[in-house]
Amino acid sequence: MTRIVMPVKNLKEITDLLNTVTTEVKLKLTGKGMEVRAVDPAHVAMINIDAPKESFVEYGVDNEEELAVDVERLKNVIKVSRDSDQITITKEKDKLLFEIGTINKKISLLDGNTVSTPKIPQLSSESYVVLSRTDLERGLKAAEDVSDAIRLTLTKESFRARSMSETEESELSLPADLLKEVVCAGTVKSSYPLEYLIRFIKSITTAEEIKMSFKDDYPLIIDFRFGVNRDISGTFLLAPRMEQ
Amino acid sequence: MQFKTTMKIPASLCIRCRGARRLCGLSYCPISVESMTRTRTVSIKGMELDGSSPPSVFVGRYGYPKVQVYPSTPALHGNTSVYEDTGKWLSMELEEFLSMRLSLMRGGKEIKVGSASSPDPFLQDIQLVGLSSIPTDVEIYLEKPLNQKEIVLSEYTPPMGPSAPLSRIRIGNAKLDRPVEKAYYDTDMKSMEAMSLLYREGVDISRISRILSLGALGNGKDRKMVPTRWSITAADKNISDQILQRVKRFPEVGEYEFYVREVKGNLFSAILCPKKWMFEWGEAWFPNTTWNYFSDLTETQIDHETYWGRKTYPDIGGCYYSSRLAVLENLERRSRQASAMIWREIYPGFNIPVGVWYVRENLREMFRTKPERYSTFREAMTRMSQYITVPIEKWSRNSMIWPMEMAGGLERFV
Repeated sequence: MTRIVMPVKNLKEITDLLNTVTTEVKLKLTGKGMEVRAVDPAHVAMINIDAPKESFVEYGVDNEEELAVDVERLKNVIKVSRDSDQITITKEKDKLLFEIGTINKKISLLDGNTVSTPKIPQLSSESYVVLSRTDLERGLKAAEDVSDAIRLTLTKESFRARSMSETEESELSLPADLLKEVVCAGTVKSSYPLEYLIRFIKSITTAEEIKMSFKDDYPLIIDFRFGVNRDISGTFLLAPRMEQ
Repeated sequence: MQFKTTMKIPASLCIRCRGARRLCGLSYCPISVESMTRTRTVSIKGMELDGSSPPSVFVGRYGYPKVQVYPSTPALHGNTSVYEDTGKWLSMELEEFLSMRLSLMRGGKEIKVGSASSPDPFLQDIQLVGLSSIPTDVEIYLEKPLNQKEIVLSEYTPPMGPSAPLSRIRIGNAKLDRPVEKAYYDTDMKSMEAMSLLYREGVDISRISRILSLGALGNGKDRKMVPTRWSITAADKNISDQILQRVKRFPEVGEYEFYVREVKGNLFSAILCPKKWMFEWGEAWFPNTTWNYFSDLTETQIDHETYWGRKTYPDIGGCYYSSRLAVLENLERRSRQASAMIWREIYPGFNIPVGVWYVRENLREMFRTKPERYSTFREAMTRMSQYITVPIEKWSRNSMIWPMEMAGGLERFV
């Protein structure tokens, strides 16, 4: 029997995060915890979530299991909860039972064969920056009405996120002393689709710090920890844009 | 007829050219349009318009929710359907098209948009004319002579001829075909559902938008007249939204497909990528074109949507949805989906707004042709570069799909 209990806030954040890229996912429950991988339809963005069993209030998983669910249905279940609630999820044949305080809701599981789990690309970059999520969010929001693209530039002295159109410009510029950590030999720069980044950053509300690794014209790797106790780890991958 | 270009053309040039060589650089001859239109309207005497409405009714937007409704007709009896048949306009010379449309004379009357919920006999007559599947004889009595200055030239709606206030109208036999009759008389059917029914039954999108504009669709008590300009975009958007829901269930096209269409001062080109749905529509206006009179530089503008769609109205306007409809019709016909990058270049001389039908019909025509197929985006792009004249730096700066495809997405790293 599969039965897990977790803070609603954690499930909400996971769902919001997944909702930025996909409509259907497989939640993989193993002896170590829950793993989720999702890719957006255009294969521009990917998400990898690793929630160790310690991040759950109770984690009763006898056998490894994959639960294919509709993200929108999950969101609807969470809607009726309060942030302080805990949620109990029990698998009952082809359904999932959610118990939130005095409310019980059941949703149907999807056919696991129709929901694919994407392969995660092997990416690495020696250059990275660790910064506050809110700093990045402000920079992205400032750029939102300027252009569809944002150009990230990293040196060991600073991190910059810049958007420009023919008539407007927006730049977030953080010198090294406002960064938590920066590792970079020389200068690396790459452009990314802003819309995807904004959808992502708006969905993670408990992450305090994020680590952004990239190099010239290379995917962006964002590592972050989130959840009530920040014990869930997540990775967001974003394909670069080619600039002329 | 007050049909004038905003550029001054030396008479000596016109005398040398005589409408044949386009020495002025325009895509049409303004003198020919003027004289052809005059010939078509010369029989109008006094304050009565008598002809077969194609059918044609224009709903203005100024003063909303009190709007001017203009039934219109050429001074001709018989089969005038070509005056409203957007599919036939592409094969016409621009002068012929403009003079034809500008000879549609209009009688206007103010109506509250909400009156469509219980139309009075006058509005019922107008609705019958507008809904008819065949041209309908009309006699339009005017309060004063036609104001030749009041013609309609708009980026959204096709051109329309002069107008005057209408005092009364007499109509002949209108004919409603079965789906239109059902949509009109079923006052419980929602307008989205009604539009979908009409489209499924083969009623063309331009006719659907006219029927919508006349407040003839939707829940009876909520029916409202819709200005023609808005109804065109509403029909393009709603029908393409519905097609998109179906298209998203289809597999991707097999390869990169390149389409091109060169026509009268315009280039339309597209690459359909073997990916899930994404769409962008771009326009590059050269100097001395409809929307770029004052600059010496070519202006490009692109709007896009990802798989999840967009929440805001595109800055580029109604042609975004006309082009979206054209490509989705093509994809649905083939049971495929794709990421569609469509760019249009508008060259000097094409300086008159003709309406969004121009984009829709040209793209429909382009997507009827056989595409060239390539295995990579770069190859397809190399081919496209042989046609486009705006530097790729300019296009790519505003494009969503080009920079993503050139970078190769995440798959390249798996």
